[in-house]
Amino acid sequence: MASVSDGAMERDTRFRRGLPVQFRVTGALMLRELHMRYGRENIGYLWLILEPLLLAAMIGLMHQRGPAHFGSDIKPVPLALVGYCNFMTFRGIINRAEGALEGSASLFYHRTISVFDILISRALLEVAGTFVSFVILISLAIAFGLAGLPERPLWYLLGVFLMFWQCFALSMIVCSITHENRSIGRLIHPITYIMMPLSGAFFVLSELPSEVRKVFYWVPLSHIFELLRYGWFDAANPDFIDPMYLGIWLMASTLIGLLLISVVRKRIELN
Amino acid sequence: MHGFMTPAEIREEARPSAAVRVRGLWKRYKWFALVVLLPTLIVAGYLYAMASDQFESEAHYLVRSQGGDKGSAAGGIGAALGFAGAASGSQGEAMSVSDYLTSHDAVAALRKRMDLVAIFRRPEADLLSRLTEADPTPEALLKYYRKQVVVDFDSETGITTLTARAFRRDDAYKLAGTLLALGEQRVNEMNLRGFADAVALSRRQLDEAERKIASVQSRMTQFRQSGRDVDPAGTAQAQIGVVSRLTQELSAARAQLATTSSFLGESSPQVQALRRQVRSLESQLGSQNARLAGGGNAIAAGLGAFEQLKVEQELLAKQYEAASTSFEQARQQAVRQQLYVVRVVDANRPVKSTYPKRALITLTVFFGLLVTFAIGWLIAAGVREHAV
Repeated sequence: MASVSDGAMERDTRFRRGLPVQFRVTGALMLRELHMRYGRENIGYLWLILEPLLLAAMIGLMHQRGPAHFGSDIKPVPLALVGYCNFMTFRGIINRAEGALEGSASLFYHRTISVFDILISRALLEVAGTFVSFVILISLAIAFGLAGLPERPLWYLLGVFLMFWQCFALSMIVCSITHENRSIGRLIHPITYIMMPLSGAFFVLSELPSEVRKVFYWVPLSHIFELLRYGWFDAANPDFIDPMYLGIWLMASTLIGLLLISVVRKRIELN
Repeated sequence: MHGFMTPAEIREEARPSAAVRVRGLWKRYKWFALVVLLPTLIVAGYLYAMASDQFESEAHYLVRSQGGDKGSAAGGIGAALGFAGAASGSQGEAMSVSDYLTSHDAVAALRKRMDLVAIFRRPEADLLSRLTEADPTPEALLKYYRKQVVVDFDSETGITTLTARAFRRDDAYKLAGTLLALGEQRVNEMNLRGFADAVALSRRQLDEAERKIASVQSRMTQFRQSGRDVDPAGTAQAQIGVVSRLTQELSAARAQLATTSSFLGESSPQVQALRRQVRSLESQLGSQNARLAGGGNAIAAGLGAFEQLKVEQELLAKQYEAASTSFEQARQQAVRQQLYVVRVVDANRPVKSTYPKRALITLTVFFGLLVTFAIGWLIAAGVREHAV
């Protein structure tokens, strides 16, 4: 970390020199991760798409002739795709954050690689994968007439970005805590499963009874999912997105995460 | 430190060193000042020095129908399980009122009643919070209006909270009061319309039945007046009596003729008289029978037409009865569905300005920017670490 005694000019130039290195490192780490994860085994990257494809196919079969449950253009297949693909972003990033440092311990011999780099490269890979699989699946659904085109694409992209941001911030916290205490890591997988129904990924908040809705109002993910649905569906109701609350969550979790990983970094170096 | 000995020197050195120190401080805290302090100061400066006070008037109302269709029914266990939350009747009605109050329709109605633009452009309003254009398009006015007037429906209690904000106490009060009145007016219009729609069909059926019954009545009168008969059924009865009496008399006369002729012989005057009597009775009976059942002007034909009219009349009477019952039911139903606005809390005349919430906004901005800066600083520090 830059010491306070460095001059301001020195800090600025260090930042300017550091930035391209940071990008290169992140890119290289993403490639490494990609090879490590899907490497030479059978269908590799395609698993990223197949998993949600199976789910979407099941839901499509179940609801094919059913009516749209939540308003005129909120059809079951796109609703499930928007919910599940983005939930995969959350699940993937959080699950892989647990024990992320152990798998990459040897990398820390390089001075230029930080915890931040490892986490952000994984998170970026994850969000890119789920986004690509979402695009492919929703294109299929649109081609088969099961889904409509996005009504407010920019809002949808904002939702994808916020989902990435929130998950990345949480992944820094998860990574640091599980590095310190391995037993907590065992809880991460169950927690991500519990979050599946609790995140509000598969229904719209406006249709819930108000007592139940109050519970979901506390979950930041449900605000993001509301935003995603608002971006995709014309009939989606934006009343239950609280930018203020979501903003507090994003900022606070990012700050806590950054502080935690800087502490963890020092502990790794001590080992 | 050595300057303690020579105060004259320190004065000479202090000036440049202060400037250097300021420059050093600026360099070190440049980003902090730019990202956190400056925007906070700008916001605080605007809020405390420029922003004009705004006053809030609040009113609560409830939209109810007379039939006990309660809005709170939505919280039942069925709703919790079913999730098929179609808004219950009066909830939808309450929503419709709040929907109306935040619509261009309400703005147009308000403009007819009060100078809305002038209210939003009072001279004491500061430049940022006032309505910018003097002659705004309806869309711009609506956008601004929605910022100043908030209608919030609580689905649990069914109470709608109406909050109007303006730059003068009386304006806020008047705005909230007028909006309440407009909401009531709209509900009344909806009632009238709903009542007319609900009753219209059965009213038409009733009219139809009335018209038909009148026409049958007039046809019966015509039938009677056409000189045939007042009561064809009664006439037929009487005619049957005449015919049967004639038949009896005829058979009695025939019997007497047979007896007499066997005693006195064919040529006796008594037998001749009896035979004449039988003949006249026979012709009587023939003509009376023809009156009863023969063609043309016979009683049977008249009786048939009359019976038909009578059956028709009875049927129509039943139809009329049914129509009038259903009309009455529809009317009662419509009356039960009548909505009315219950003013739970009337609009208040604000005394103290409650908006903008200066300290809260300033603190929020400050802490928000502080966290932003901290995040940025941490990330930048991470990036700097990469520079070898």
